[in-house]
Amino acid sequence: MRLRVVGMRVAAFFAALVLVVFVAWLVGGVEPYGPIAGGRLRGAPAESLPEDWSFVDRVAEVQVETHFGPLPWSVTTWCLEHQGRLYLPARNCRSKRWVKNLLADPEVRVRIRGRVFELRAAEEKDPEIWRALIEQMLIKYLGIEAEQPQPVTGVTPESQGRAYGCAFRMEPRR
Amino acid sequence: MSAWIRVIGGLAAAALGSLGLTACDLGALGGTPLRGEPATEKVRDWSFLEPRYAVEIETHASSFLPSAQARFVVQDGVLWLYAMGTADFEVPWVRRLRDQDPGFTIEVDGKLHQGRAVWVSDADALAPLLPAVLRKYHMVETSRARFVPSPERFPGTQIRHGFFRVDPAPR
Repeated sequence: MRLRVVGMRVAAFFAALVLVVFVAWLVGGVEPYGPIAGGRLRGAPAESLPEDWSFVDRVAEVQVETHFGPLPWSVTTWCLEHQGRLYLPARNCRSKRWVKNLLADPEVRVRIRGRVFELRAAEEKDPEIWRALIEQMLIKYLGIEAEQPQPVTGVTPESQGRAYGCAFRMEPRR
Repeated sequence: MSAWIRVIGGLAAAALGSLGLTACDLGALGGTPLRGEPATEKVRDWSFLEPRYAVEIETHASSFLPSAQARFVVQDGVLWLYAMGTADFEVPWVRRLRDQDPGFTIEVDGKLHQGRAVWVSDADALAPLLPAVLRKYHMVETSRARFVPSPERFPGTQIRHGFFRVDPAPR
């Protein structure tokens, strides 16, 4: 009986949520807000891609639009730059919807300070670059300097499956 | 236009009502009051919590959603609550514990323990916690770490860290 009541409440919650999201999508698209994902990103299309992305050092957050089936799925995330290239890192990589979307379809739109860049994501696996990105992430976002920082490998017990960072290099579309 | 407002308002109310019925839990943002039995013994060593990712807490300061999932680390048996925020946003439970009332309840396996949260901002005192914080919540392994001032290359991009040492509640 109790299980049935809980089930009905959960169903009611999801039905209402789906309706709200659907209406919002119809009305003109929802933008990502804080940790909440959104749909199609609006902004001025970039006419060309920069040769050097180092200007993102001064940018705290960007929005990335991926594809969740036929729907656009955008989130706000961090950005890093290494040797003039743009990287989008992700914590708890395995559990993030936008990362799963991006692995299924690497074509993304990235909005930086109102300009939307059409790009293609490639997972960065070079350990040297990884180390440099970690050091940069610690300073840029956490304000922490660490001694010989290394990525945590595998899933730690306390992370309950959330662990495993990853980073995606942004490249021009083919 | 007014019809649209009524429709959207109705849907929003339905969503909020449904959220309330599902024993609302918005993670770090807030949730309904905790349920459980009062713990009969004080915890002197919180190390047994280490394998968990977050704990459920409820602030004594009044709030519509008084509970929250809080990140934490344990150092030498002492429990530290940890939160991340930005210049524009701070999770509500941090504000309530720091600015209104340090008293709170922590729920562990159905038992409710009373605690007092002491806000600690001294960088040197927090440095020993950083390796555990980095490993657990930022997926970075290191033996030593320290806070550094914002460098010129990255102006205004740093998040804000919040740490509370958990002391037993005074009798």
